Amino acid sequence: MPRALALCGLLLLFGFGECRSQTAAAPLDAPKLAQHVTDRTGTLSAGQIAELEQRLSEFEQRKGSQVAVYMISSLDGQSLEDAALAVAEKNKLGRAKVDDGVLLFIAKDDRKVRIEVGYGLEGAIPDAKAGRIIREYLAPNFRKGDYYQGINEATGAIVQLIDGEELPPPFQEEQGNQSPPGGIFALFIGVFIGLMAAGTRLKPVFLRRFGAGLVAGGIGFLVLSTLGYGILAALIAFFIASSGPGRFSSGGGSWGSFPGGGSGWGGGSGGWSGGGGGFGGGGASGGW
Amino acid sequence: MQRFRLLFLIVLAAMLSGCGYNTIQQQDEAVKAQWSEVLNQYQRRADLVPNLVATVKGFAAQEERVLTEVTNARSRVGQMNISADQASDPETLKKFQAAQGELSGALSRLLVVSENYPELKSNENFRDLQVQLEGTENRVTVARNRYIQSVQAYNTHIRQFPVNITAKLFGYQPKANFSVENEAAISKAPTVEFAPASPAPAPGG
Repeated sequence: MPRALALCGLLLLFGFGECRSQTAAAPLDAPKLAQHVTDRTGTLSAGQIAELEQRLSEFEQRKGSQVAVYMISSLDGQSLEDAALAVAEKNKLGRAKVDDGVLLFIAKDDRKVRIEVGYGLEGAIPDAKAGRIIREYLAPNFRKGDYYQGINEATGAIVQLIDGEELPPPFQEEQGNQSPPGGIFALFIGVFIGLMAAGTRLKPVFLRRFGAGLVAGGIGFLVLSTLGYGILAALIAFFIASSGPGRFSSGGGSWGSFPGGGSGWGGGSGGWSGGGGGFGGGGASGGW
Repeated sequence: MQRFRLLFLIVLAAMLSGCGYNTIQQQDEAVKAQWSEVLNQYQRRADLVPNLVATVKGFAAQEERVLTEVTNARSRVGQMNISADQASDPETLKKFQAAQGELSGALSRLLVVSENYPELKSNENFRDLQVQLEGTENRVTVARNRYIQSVQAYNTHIRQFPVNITAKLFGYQPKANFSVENEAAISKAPTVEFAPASPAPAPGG
């Protein structure tokens, strides 16, 4: 019997691990941007970067959309579209659900440029308009070697286009209600039901305890089956039920202070980062 | 003991169906959603074609062969709207891919031909259309990549122990995936010929 019990526990644990290890997307080899304007080539002066940075962060505060500039010297044989999308996706420019991010990606020595447009802005900045920004603002200035002027005019045009679009107001996430994570909820329900069941009078002692775990697990599954919290709840309840006196005595108090991990929302104080926007390959590429 | 065994089996079944089964559902749905996105972007490309053909015709009506080629490929693509369920069948997916590939080829020939018409090339409308076409091709690539990834995740999941038992139990099969379109062309080294080809178009069009 203990052997079967151990096997059972092992299987449950195994199942739990199986659930957690799904869909680990391949990490893209792209840099994390620390601010709106990143120049890896040393072309822009510190003052010029600060000026662009200020304008774009002001715009982000006013409108909520994230427009970023990323300039590198060479693509090293990578395709322009892949590289730009990788950077945009890695940093998740734009707000989640609104998907209002734009990345101006410049490969200076390759003389290639791409405007990567987030899903939510494909209406405000259709490919044709993005193409025109490249042809009319970026290419002529870049040809003259005036990179700052080109970037300045292009971001200005992009900002203007986004301004013409109805978007949700900025700082929307502060209004969102802070509901407790669902997993913890499932855990509590599982533990509670487990203890209740452990308190009822079933004949064989083991069956009673085991039934407690099973019921708890079942409820947990119903509440949040896909995340595997149910199994965890079952295990916890099972162990409580089998270690405790089988009575619904003081168990609730000690488990009430269960740490509610997994809700670490930084809020983005200090360093700048993307807000969770999505990209689908919209935008335009060009050269000069 | 007999009862315990029964319980053990129930727990085992709960584990299989709870974890494996639900993830199959999730990933199956994800694949379907990605397929819709693929269709969506191909549709977007097909919608651009009539406009593009009309614009090119205005400047290069004599390129009749290429223009009809594009129009024909476009209409064949229009007849091939396959659902996500049909797409998991390798043969159907292959046909779909062939039809779309044909349109890709015809479109790129059209763009090559249009290089010979400076007036067309400098036409703003044509330039915009060209950018739109490029953008759409890029979206197609992205959508296809994501579809490939979601199918891969799904296939990997249902082939692994213990989910493979669940999958077999409920009849979930591995899905067909996109392949490289012109495998043969890529693996063959390009040939460069310097023989006098067809007469180049007169400078200045």
